[in-house]
Amino acid sequence: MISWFNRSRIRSYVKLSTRKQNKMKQEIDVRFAEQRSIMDSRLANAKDYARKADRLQSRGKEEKAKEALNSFKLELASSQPVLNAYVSTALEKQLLEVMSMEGFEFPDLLSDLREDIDYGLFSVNATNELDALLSAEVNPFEELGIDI
Amino acid sequence: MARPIYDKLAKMRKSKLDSLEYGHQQHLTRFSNAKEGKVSEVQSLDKKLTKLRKKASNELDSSVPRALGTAMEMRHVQADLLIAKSVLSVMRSNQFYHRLMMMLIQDVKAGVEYDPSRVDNLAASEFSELVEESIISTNLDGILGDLRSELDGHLGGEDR
Repeated sequence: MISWFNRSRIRSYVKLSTRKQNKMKQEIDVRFAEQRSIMDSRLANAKDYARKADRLQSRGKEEKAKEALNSFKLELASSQPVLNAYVSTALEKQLLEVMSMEGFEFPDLLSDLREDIDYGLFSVNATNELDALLSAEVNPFEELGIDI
Repeated sequence: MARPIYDKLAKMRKSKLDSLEYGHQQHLTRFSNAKEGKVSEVQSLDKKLTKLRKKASNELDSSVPRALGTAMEMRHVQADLLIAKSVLSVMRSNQFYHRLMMMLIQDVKAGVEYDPSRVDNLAASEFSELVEESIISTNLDGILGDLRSELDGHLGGEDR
């Protein structure tokens, strides 16, 4: 069972009128742009802190460098929920685009033929599962072994 | 799945089959083109991630903070890569569906008996990559493991 394609919001999209489909897409586009902008801004801030830590460290200012690194860590930690929300919105946005294509069929049509096809993030069940997966897969904090 | 469809197709008139085949051909072309675009996006993100990995690896030798900044960027690229690969799988399944329908219609028109092994083989070859390896298979092991050790030493363990 492919989780995302069983969501009523996704299922009902193909039955909506073009006007309603466009409205739904516009709402998602706005949300996507906002999340992307916040994420980019946090990335820029984190990189600034990293550069600052590097500069301070090279001048022998270890304590100040450590503070900059801690600020970096906080920036990174605070960006995780935004990253999760961004991934969820991006998946929905791109899925709606594919679903708007003439001839689109839900992939579960093929599930009788092959049950082991990997639909990646679309196979992940609920939002909290997606969060957990992203935290594990695309969070360097976890890989770095740092618990903020 | 294919057998009932084949049986349904076998009862149709040739003109209806021609029209259906044309429709699936159009959809196949549409999804094939869209898939190509998405494959290019995946390749480009893959390349970007490899570059960032290499950059972070080099930075590790001279500056751990700089490597951390690059690792942060890697995280975003990797998320985009997972999204693109997931969307690609949906495009590929649609492309496959229309290809399968065309094959079945052409078989009916040519009087070829239904052969489930042909359908299985077609599915296996089309999806082999998506079956053999998981989309969510990339992680930041290796370089980030090194970064962790470096950072452990750098922060003296007190901030963890």
